[in-house]
Amino acid sequence: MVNNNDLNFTQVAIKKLYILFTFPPDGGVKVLSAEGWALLLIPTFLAVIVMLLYGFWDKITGMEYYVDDEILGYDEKMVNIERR
Amino acid sequence: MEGILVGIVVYLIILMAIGIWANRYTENEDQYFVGGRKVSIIAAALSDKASDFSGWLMLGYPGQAFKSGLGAFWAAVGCLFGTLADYVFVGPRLRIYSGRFRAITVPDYLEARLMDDTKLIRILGALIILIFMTVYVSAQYAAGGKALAQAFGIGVNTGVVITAVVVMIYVLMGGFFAVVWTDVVQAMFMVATLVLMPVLALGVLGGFDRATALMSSTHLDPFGGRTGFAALVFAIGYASWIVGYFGQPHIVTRYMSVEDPRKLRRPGIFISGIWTIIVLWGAFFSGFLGYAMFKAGIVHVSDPERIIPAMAMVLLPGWLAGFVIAGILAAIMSTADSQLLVASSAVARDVLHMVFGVELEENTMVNLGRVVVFTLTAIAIYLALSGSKIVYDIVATAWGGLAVGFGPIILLTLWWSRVTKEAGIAGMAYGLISEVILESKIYGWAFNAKAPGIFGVIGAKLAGVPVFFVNFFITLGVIVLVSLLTKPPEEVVKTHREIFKKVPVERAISQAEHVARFAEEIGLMRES
Repeated sequence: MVNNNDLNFTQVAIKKLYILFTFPPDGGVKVLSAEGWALLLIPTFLAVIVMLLYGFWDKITGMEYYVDDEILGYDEKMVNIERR
Repeated sequence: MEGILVGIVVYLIILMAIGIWANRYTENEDQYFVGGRKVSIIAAALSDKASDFSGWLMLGYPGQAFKSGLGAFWAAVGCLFGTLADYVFVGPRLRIYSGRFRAITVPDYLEARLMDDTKLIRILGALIILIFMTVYVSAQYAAGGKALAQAFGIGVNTGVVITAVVVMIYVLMGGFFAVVWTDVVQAMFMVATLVLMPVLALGVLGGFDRATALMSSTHLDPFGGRTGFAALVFAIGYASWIVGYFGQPHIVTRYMSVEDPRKLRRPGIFISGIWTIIVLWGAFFSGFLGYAMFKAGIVHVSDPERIIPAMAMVLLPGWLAGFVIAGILAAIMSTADSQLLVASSAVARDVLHMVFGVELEENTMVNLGRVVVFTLTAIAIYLALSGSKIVYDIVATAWGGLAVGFGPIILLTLWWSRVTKEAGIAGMAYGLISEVILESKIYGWAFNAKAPGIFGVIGAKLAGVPVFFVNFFITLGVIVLVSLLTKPPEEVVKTHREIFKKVPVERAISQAEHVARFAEEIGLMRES
């Protein structure tokens, strides 16, 4: 097994040139299919939609959870340290 | 070699400095375990994700992308939606309840929420945490061992011990604050590493199409070449991580610590969501393109899980490769430290303090937590040295135990007033016992046909699907069934209905209105 520490930048550059000149390697170009791109992009797009909807749900509905000091429940000693 | 060492040493000095700074905020249990419930949302959200994504992200997952190709992206889908689901279904409600109950740990919250006077929920919770979290920590040490071995040519076991000692030192020093703020630094290292590696790989390969041209059709198929039911099982097998998110104490404790539950909505979900998208894409493409580099003969690895450190050493000068290795260690340490802290709280607070009623001075309790951290580190080192070193598998095993033990009961107690303590005890006991038996004696972490008898028949149909995915829903069913057969105290139902009341959002006051109010106050202007 070749140790990666044995490869220097010149060798990597040579390998890179080899790939560029021998492309495509087996006579046919295999590219990512439409299904492949769909798997990469659609869930990510849906995730962004979920983020936006949930992130602004209070603005959309005009309502938000009720919160008071009792719920916040800060540690008093820590509040004092910060004040100091 | 020296360059790599410089990068790592600089990184470790930063961590130590944070540990020393955080020590001033570590006087009592509240501060040691949840940062006094006053952690800023940016720190909490980044720490949440840095704790979540461990050596699994930097080694285990790229290794899967290397081996399985595009199909492994389903795991990223599961993790991304798991992250979002945590913010939507768990974060704000758990913070509200834990603030009201002054809960420091997950068992604290469950005991208070279900009004359990038997202490069984606390004991079961502590057992689940101790067993599975120690396994989880051992996975991080194994990952650290691999990364250091790849970088320095030392033995994996030596790397395991070095990783364990460094993590232990800063957890002992600073507790939760040290963990959160080192997580923030580590989150930055992780994102930088995972953006850099695929970009450099694309450069050296000469573009994406040239990379895919080096791969087989199976490697480029979204379902690994499977069709029909087998394709569905394949996708679920990877995406199943999603259900585990509700039950990871080292993740949900971050929500309990945040300064204001409303900030988990905004900006919390945006910070976590965007960070998660970037690192998951980065980790996937590091492994995916790493495979193309391997096929092209640019990089050589004996273990696919070492692909990122191997790529860094080929593509970068020594000192920068050192920072990439530091990024990997960051992922490992940021998870291991949080898990050690949670496991320590399970023993020091949940068992000794709350179950056995050991009353000690606050400082002594913190020190007791430190002794537990030390002990757990020793056990996790032993597990990492003696057990399997396949990070993906060890993490899946531990993730599954926590997912089934805590996930269903946390989710139901936050959204259903009708859950009873009997149901909680039954569900957690079933989750703990079934996961231990199924994972250690029957299947391992995923279903397979090799299991004995009827289990083998089921295993053949669901081959590759993690055991925890199915067991999560069975546990959910157990809790619902027992809840329907028993009755919760009226006080519990009343509190649940009142605590999540919503109020109209206060309209922000504009600058002009502030000026007008001030003018009224000092008599420059009269109210019309």
